[in-house]
Amino acid sequence: MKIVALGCDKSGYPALLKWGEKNASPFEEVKLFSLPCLGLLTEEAIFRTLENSDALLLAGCPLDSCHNQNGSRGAYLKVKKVNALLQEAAIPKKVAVAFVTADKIGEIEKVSQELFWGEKNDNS
Amino acid sequence: MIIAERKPIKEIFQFLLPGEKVLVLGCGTCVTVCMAGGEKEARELASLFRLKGWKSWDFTVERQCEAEFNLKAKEEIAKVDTVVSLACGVGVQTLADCFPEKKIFPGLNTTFMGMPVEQGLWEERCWGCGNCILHLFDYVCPVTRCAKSLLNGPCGGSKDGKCEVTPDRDCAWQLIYDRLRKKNKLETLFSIQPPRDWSTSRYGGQRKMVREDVRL
Amino acid sequence: MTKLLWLVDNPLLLPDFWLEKMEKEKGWKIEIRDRESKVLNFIDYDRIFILGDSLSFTRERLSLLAYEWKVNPSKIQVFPWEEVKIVFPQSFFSILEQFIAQSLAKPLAPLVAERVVPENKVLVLPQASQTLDQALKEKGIETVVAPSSTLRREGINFHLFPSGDTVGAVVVSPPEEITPPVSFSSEVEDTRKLVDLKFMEKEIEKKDFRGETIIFLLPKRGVTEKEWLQTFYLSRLLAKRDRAEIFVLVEEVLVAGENLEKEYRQARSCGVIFEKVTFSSLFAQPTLDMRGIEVEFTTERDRLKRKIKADWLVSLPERNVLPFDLAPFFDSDRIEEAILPLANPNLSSFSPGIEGIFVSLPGEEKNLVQVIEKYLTQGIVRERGRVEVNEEKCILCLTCLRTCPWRAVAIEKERKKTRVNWELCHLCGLCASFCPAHAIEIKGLSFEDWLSPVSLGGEK
Repeated sequence: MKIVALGCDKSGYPALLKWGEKNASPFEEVKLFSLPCLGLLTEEAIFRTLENSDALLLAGCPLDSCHNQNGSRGAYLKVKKVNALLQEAAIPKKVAVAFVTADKIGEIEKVSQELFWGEKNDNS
Repeated sequence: MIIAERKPIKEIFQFLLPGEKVLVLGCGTCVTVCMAGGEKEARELASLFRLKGWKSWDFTVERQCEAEFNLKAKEEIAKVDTVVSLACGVGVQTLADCFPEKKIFPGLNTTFMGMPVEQGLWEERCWGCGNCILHLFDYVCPVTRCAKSLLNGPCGGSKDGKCEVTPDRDCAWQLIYDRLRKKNKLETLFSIQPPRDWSTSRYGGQRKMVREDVRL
Repeated sequence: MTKLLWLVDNPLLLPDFWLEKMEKEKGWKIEIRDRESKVLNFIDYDRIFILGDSLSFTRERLSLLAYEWKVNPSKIQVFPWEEVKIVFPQSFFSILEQFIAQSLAKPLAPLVAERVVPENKVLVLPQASQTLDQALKEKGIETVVAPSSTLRREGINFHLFPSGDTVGAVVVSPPEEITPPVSFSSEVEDTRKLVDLKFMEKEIEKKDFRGETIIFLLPKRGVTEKEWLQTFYLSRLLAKRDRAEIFVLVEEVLVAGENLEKEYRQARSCGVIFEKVTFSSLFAQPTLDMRGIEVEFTTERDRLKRKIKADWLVSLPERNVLPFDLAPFFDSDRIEEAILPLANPNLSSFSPGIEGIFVSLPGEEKNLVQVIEKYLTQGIVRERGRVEVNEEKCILCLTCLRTCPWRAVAIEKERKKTRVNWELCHLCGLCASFCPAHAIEIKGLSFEDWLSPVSLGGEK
């Protein structure tokens, strides 16, 4: 599975790096990007990353302590919309967003478990 | 402004044959403002098509309802088999007239003429009935906003200021009454509105306007 | 020949043969310096790479470095050295090579990092308390008091009309005592039937309110979305489960928001009565047996006087509510109900989320003045030229105005064009990502510009 992970450089990216150190091995490819804030993400950018990968994992500051007030909230709305569109279009790809702080990666583990392995576990 | 919403994705997919090249053509005026068919949505839909396996691009013109603007997209349209137009019904028709040989599909459902009440909420305000009487009802249009288009209202179904047909809409007549009362002009409601000539509305067939003064 | 500067924390980690190979094959002349050592001239290099400790180099810190080094901020790139080395030691050099190539392939955006320093003057709204006044004087900050003037933002400063003064910051000083949004006489409070939402939330689990009459009071100002949701939920539960008679007296119902309209409709369909009331005409007194509260009000709908004997009167928790509306003071159409400091640990303290505006809290004037002094003297480093609005594409839908958390977007009065104030922009990108016309570009940060430093190849 090819995955892309995107995080804001304040908390998401450090957390993703930590997560990647332990959890990157099962994937064919893990691409990591950092952005100043998750608010920069557009629906189009999400779709375009998905064109070359199977799943997208986002990580940003917790909703109420985003450095840009509404950045994480914006990302949450977009992820919701994109997932609805993907489901409607019957495209078996998914996006998930985890709200984390730089040193707490539990949320990423939870979200990524669901994102990458959730369906797999159901089948087995 | 004209308000529209995107058709269900599945319906749009049904328009397209496998392996086709698709252009998503956005429109940069009304449907951009109501976030249904602007450049952002065109880009989104094009990348969704690509995800689903079609070859797809996007392009946006200023206004699809005018042929001159559509011709700007000529080169882009020449490259593809099918065009999904993200314009209102008027735009799709104009586009089809400009490029009669192409397959063109509407990507939006044109819903109404209205206004953005706030970010993410639009409401219908005008029906285009062709005979404006807003001044008589303190600028609340009973033709549009009353489910029964009553000119001598309200009906018996107005409850708590809400409409009985769709309970989450305000009763237009409650609004008219409240607004007139605030201005102390309730007496205007005593005059009874005569039956209207609805031929200026859609009931008289397609409407057409000729202005000799601006025709050259 | 491309001149590259690498700033590393340990210069010994890069083998010479690899550097020579790069110079021969790619034409990259790489100069390696210790991060701590002083480089005199940064301008000569085509790109500056920071290797290692990538976590501490946020966008803000890079802007600051660019300002100090006097280089274009988009020249500076950070490569997560340690992480790549740990996770994928074999292909470390190829990843690094790819990263540099990617970075060099992008044309540089014409950016300048500049320091913006606000005017050393403060406007206090509506009036400075004695302690605040004194604290400001001690620090030598000049204060202006002009509660009736209009404010306009120009750059980082505020301009006052009609006096023409320029101030660098605005201090909003809410009334000192914390007051409930709706206040009642002490006799009403003596019945102990006047409770707040939190109390109701707790009691509803334990107590049965069968057959009782409960009135909720929600004023227009200072009610949060969460409180509305809670009111809808609680009133519905009480009406449905306990068959209690519920009145919700409001000045205006807020239904714009996630789930709010749905909850509101559900509450109505369960028999909760919502009544629009002017709160100034509201009158409450205890009943004779002191077991309830008699509430008298005039409905806005039909101007009828009603008197309801309530067993419980549910109001909102106490809070500071600003006595005036600040929305007209800003170049924005967003309506701010009450200005309060946000509970966001990442914003500067006392900030309601708008740059240059501070909320004074009773008892903390000293700390506040320290924060203000720091803001006024140090200023901020911002990047000029990052955000560009394509005026041909822009259709003035005002989405950017409504989405910008920092209120950096304004419509120019004369030209009727959208303008992003670079001195206030934090590069969060919300405006660009919501713009339906795709008219806002954040240079160097759009999808095409993302660099992928780490490509962790898994084992499979």
